[in-house]
Amino acid sequence: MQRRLTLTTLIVVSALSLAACGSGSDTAEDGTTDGTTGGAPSRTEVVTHNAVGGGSDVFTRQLIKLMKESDNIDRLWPVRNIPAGDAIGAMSFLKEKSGEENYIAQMTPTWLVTPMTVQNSNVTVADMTPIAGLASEPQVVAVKAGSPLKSMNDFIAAAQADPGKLVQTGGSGTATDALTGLALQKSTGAKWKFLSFEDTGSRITAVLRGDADIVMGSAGDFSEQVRAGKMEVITILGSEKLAVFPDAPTALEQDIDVESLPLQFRGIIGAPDMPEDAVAYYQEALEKTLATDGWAEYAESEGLVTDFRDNAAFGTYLEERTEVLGGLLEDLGLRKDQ
Amino acid sequence: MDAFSGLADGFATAVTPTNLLWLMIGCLLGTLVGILPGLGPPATIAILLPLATNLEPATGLIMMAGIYYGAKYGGSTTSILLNIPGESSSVVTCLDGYEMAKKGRAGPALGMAAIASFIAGTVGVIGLTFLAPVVANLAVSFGPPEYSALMVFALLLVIMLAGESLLKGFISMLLGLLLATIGTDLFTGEQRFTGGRIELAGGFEFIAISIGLFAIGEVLVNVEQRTGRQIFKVPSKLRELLPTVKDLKDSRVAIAQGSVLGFFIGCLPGAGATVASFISYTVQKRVSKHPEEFGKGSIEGVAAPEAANNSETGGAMIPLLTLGIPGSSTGAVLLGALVLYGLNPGPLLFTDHPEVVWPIIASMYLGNVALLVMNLPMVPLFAKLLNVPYWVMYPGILLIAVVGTYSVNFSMFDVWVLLAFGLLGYVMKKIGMPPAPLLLAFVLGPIAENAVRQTLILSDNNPVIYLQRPISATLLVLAVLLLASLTLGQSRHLRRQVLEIDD
Repeated sequence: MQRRLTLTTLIVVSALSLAACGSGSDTAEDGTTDGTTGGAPSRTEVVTHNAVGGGSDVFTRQLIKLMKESDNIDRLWPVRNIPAGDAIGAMSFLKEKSGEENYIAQMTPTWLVTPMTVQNSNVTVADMTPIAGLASEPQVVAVKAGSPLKSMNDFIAAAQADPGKLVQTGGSGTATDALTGLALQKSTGAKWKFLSFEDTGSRITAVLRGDADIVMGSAGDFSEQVRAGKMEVITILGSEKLAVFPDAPTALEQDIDVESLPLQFRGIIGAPDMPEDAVAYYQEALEKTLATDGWAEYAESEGLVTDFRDNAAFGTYLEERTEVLGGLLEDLGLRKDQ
Repeated sequence: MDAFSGLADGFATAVTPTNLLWLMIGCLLGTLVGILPGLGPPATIAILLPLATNLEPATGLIMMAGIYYGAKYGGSTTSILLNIPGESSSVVTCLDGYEMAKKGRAGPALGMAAIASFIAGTVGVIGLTFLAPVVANLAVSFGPPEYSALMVFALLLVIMLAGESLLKGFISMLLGLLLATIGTDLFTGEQRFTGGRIELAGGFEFIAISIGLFAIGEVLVNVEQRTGRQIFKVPSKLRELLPTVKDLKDSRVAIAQGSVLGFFIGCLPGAGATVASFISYTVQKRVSKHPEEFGKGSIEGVAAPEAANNSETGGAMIPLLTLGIPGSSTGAVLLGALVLYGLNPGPLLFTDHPEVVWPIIASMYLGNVALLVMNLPMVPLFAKLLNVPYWVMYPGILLIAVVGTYSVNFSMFDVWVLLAFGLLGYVMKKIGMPPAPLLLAFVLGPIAENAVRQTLILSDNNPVIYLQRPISATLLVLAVLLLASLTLGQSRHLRRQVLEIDD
């Protein structure tokens, strides 16, 4: 009797662990309603190269939410987080799904840069199917509140006066913010240090603590700190002002060559050789979503500049950006793929 | 709004039937996720995010927080019963918990884990309620030099876990540090020692290593002995399946210091429950009246880390709620959830959205009570689980190990890693090398490496910076004192070992 009870318990525990395992992999399957949108892929999953809670992850989830709220899709697509290898893991996953219609990804310039900065990467964005460009996201430069630095030019001047002493904090050495810093140092002859942290939170505390002088990131990374009076945004690294930080000057106003800096953007790509009707379906759903008020409101609060491109235009754009970034990496001596 | 009225309002919101229902669901799910190795709280919350964003913000966050701390209650179960640490914070619980189980004291160990978790969990929430604004500064004041010093201190404590041989503990720790270097380098983005394998770009999976070393290694050793008899004694009387009054008395200090240490370490982003649990364990070993029982089934050795692990939750919520800075992967998921609710996590969260923050805090008091009530009655049931014959037990452990490991990334590669580390666990057991230092060093290694490199960037490679910053200087002095006491206490012992090796 006793033995039977314990055996049953053991079986139940094993079954539960199997169930837990299943729920992880197959979240796409529940709630699937085949064919309601006519020809729409039935088990769409959206890949991001961030862990849950990271910038791209949150953007992806917000985008899906807006698509659902505007009825451009009929259920919330699940997000698949593949943080390994700064987008190389995510691209390897997509490559395994070649020819399938269910796997799309939200990409950033990191997806273009990483394969060029590591040796022998066997995946690149060129292998994937472009679907749509969504928006550009000008980086902003933030400092601790009360800092004597009031603009990017102030910082550059200070760095020129005291070479190698000031500190910019940010992500990995090949992330967009790091490349921006390197490009600016190269064009101005100034020298400063770069302090890598894995997460945005640590970068913010490094600035608040005074370990770092500036940090670059998207508007949403710092808007709450600015509202609380703990940080200030001193420059928008673009040619137009952002509604969230109306007082911050643009790089253009400071005669900084915006075109030579890596531009942060967000777009959607699919697995290699994705069927054309699937590409058309995703592209249309995205285009319609970007025309809604919900998106406009979200874009404004996050400092995104809507910049829709269809799959052909986005394909060309990706080629252009690869060229620009490749040249920049080569100039900086960071290119390892050749 | 002061803390008292905030908390009162929070309780008023938290006790609506809907919120209580989702609190229960969260705690129950958390317990299950904690018990089953593999799928952890961040992954679970991520899976539930689409569902949760349809709920009211307070309701959804109450549920998600329930999963977070509920998992910590469940985490000790497989550690104690099967020597399977489901999370990195449960590694230390295996050391004495599993030994207690072997001696027929699985029930008291599980019961003590639940009681210590409840007390410490509540202490942590009290800290969160009343100390949040004060302690938030601690999170900001810890920079790279401070983390480096904390890691020096922590790695010294890791060697102390070694047991009989300092040297074997040291080698085990070094192995862990070496394994931790595999993966993508933060500073250059370079792939290190991955052999071009994309599965290794994020480093080895912790779950695969820990389950391999502990559980599979244990099974292999036992199978080899071919005794065919029960490994566990399981008492039949219900009274012997729960902690005694003496157990509770013995664990008073452990629970108290674990609660306090766990809370403060929890406030530091990145340090987390693993550091909290084993610092508390080693401190307890030092202050205990029976240090010789540690590693052989000491109830204090279960109470201290479980207390620290659970009071850490309250501490970890502080930087998240007061600064918008998550301290752990679960914190990052909760931050993402706050953003998805449109709540703008940041320094103004308490002022802008007291109607969401305070119910979450209030629900954590209730959740701790619910978890104690849920977990204690399960103790005899779980303890009796050990009564199964070995020919059911071993395949069962192997099944849970493989399924649990596979479920983390759905990767067969991880299963092979599990098996490889199972073999290593077997070898280490045979030569008497403790696996815990390896695992803890594997967790601490990347934190230590990044912190040291960041510090040296800041100081232009000048180590004097460590003495210029008060917190790091203090921690390093403590580390030196610890090292001195270690070498004084162990020098004769060590010399004998070295001589033995020379022979």
